[in-house]
Amino acid sequence: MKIGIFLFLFSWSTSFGQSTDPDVTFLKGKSPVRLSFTLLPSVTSFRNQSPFVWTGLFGQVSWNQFVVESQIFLNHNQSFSIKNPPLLINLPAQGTIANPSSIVNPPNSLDFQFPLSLGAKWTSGQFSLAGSMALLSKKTVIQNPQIINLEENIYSVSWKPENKSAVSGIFSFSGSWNLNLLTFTAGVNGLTVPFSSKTDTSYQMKPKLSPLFGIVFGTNGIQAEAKWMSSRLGFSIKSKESLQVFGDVRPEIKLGYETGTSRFSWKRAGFELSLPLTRIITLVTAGDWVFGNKQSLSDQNFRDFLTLQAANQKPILAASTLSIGFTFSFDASERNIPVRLMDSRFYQSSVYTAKRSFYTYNPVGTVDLYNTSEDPAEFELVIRSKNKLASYQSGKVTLAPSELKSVPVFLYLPDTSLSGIPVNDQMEVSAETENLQKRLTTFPITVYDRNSWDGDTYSLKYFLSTQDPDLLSFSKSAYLSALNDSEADSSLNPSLKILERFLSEAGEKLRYIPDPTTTFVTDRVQYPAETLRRRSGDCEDLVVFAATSLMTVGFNCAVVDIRPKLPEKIPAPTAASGSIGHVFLLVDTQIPVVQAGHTGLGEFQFVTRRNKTGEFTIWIPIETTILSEGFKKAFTEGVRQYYDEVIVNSGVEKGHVQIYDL
Amino acid sequence: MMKLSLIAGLKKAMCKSMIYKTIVFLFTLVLSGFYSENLSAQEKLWIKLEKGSALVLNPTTSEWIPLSAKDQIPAKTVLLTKPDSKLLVFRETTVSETPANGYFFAEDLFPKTRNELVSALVRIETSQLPAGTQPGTDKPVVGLTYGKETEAEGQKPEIPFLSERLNAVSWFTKQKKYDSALLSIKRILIKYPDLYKNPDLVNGLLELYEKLELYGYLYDESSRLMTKKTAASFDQMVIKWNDLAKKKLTGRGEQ
Repeated sequence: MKIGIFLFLFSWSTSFGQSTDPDVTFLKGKSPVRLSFTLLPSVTSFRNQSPFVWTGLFGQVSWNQFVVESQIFLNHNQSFSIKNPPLLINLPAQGTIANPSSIVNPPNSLDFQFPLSLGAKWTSGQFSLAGSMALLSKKTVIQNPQIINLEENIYSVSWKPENKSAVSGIFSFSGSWNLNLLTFTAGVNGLTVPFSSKTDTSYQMKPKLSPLFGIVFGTNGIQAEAKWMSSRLGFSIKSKESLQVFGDVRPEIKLGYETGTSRFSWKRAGFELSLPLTRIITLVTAGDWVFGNKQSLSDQNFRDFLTLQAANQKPILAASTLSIGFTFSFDASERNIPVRLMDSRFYQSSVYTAKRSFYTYNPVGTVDLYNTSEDPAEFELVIRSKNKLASYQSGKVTLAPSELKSVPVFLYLPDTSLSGIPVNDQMEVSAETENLQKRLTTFPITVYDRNSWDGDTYSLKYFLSTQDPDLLSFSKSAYLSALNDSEADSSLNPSLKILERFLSEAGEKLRYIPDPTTTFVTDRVQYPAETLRRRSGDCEDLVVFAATSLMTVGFNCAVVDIRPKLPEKIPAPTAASGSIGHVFLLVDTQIPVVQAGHTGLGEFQFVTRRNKTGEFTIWIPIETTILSEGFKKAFTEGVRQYYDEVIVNSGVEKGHVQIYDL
Repeated sequence: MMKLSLIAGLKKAMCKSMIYKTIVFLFTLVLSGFYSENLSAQEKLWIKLEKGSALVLNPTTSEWIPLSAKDQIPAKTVLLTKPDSKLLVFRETTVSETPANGYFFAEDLFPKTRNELVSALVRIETSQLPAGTQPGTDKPVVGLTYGKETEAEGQKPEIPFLSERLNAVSWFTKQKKYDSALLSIKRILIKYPDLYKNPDLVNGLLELYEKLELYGYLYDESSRLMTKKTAASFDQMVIKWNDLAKKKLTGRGEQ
């Protein structure tokens, strides 16, 4: 059996368009369209044959979770000349052959090739599904004898070639499961679908349907693979881009070994070297040697060979092949974000759910970013957290070439109901484009639940919920009642009387109860609706409740904090009236200060403040912890505290009295 | 003999040690007295009512309490004297006469050093609890609060004891007790900012700044008033004081 022209292609799947920045990854399901093709001229030499040249064209398109690959082989043809045995003709007793030499019949021929193959892969998370189809084209020429009776007892033998061709698709399907370092693959190979209706010859090229199994072990630098399918057992080892050989040159090297496991055996060894020359062009060199199989094939071996070859685009007859070519890669978006983190500062290690709106408008940190490229860089700053307790996505951040810019980082907190125990979370800050993510830095935060308070009196305003339906209904009802009552009594200033009656009603049965524990790290504040239900709270709970009730019906309020200022991380706890740590309320009576003479209020019983509309009005101090004892007591105690702390002790001047408008 | 001298030596050493400890304790006690601050107590003043009647304000209840011939009052409260009254107020060895038919802060009666005067002005400005802190910072905003002019609607403007307050200012000025006059007029204007529309009062305030050589205050107040829309004569008066303040502050007035 003569082996004719045999074209061979040794092809490893090349890694097209690898990242040049290890911190940059594709966002899940957001990879750009990437196109690459490889032109690979090759020379193959069989034993006792002259070398010949063939060309392979490999294309790959990927977008999002999909990868589609194609292979086109030019001049890729395996031809076999099959010697026929001498023809036996039964002639009559006197019969003769006019041309006896023609009895030696010419050889049959068999040509086959895989001109085109297509593959597709879909990946979702740890799992991927792949399918491929290789087109198998076969042509056979069978020499059929024709015996013609020229004269009586004289015969002539001629040969008429019968051409037959068949096209079929060889399909394989597999699924993979990726577990970080390990990837398992399983599937089937060798499913044949005839595409032509012509009858085949006796030289069948139909592979057996067989399972395929593979396992890949990969680290950051090296990936090893073992694969078995269709009587082939293969091993390969491949370096990844992190292998740095000469300066910035980062070649990829792959070495492989394969052996047949059926009666028709072979062995293969090969290598592939990919050397990126530019961002687009990569030099590819490959070598492949097949050996260990039989030189001459018996009829049975030949049929085994055909069955196995039909399932393998890679030739399995002894040959040496050397290939050299180029890969051209085109990315829809460059796989790099030219931004370098120069410095980062984070001001908030503890964040409070109640202060959600504060973190939305006040940065929790700043990152200094540098554009490393000669072009403008545009991206978004994104924060993600492991426990999904906070996030952030900026608008477009633009850096001019070589610009260094400080970019503020904000935080969006969901109104999640934590159990009261602070939760630690890790925030990851990254620069992102539509498709790419570049990790910049991480910072830890502790997230406190919605009732936790950082001890900063300014933050009390975040507990005011004037839109709460229960509180609205309570306040409106109390205000209407106060309006009706005050109409009956005309001896007092109406506004002051309304305020007095409203606060008396709102504070009825309201009890001061301190927090169960004061940890000195976080205090807890009740929302007004919670205080309304429980009818109790500590001083800041009652201040928040009274302020919200008043603000619901249109009174402006401010909180006066008479706590000493301690170091930032040690907020002083608040306590009952008369303690060092305490807050009380200032209420805008809405009475113009020039009408003070009509109110009967004394020099120290009110202060003159500008309200939100810019008018100077009379504001009175109210001690909310004793509101249940009546307005007069709460007012007198408020005046006492104002006088002692502000007038006598000059608290504002000395810094231990702070005022916060709500 | 040896044993006795040893005991005597020990006794002597112990005695020395006790004296030393006592001295240290007393010294610490005195120092702590200097540097500790009694937050609730305040200075008391003695008064002597020689003629007529006068009242003192209970700061928390706002009740007016008649003063007896000899009485003790807190320093940080208000006195109200009736016409033809003669009231003397004593602070240690200093005695101060008071205006008749006046309404004034007792502590303002006594002469002050320049530092004490500035400190008192700051306390007056902060006494009305102006807008607190800037969002996101804990810096208190100290100073005057300037707002929309209040138009009294329906009712006649009613500032309690206005004539008595102004009487007191006028009396202090006549008596050349400019620091008392300044503090008194400042208290009126801070408590009732609408009175900043009164040119006589404003002129009196600015004049007192000038007399007390508080040119920084003079410049700040006049500059602020220049931004307000007022009558032409008012503007000219304010500009005059502002120019003077600028000259004094830049040293050009000396040339």
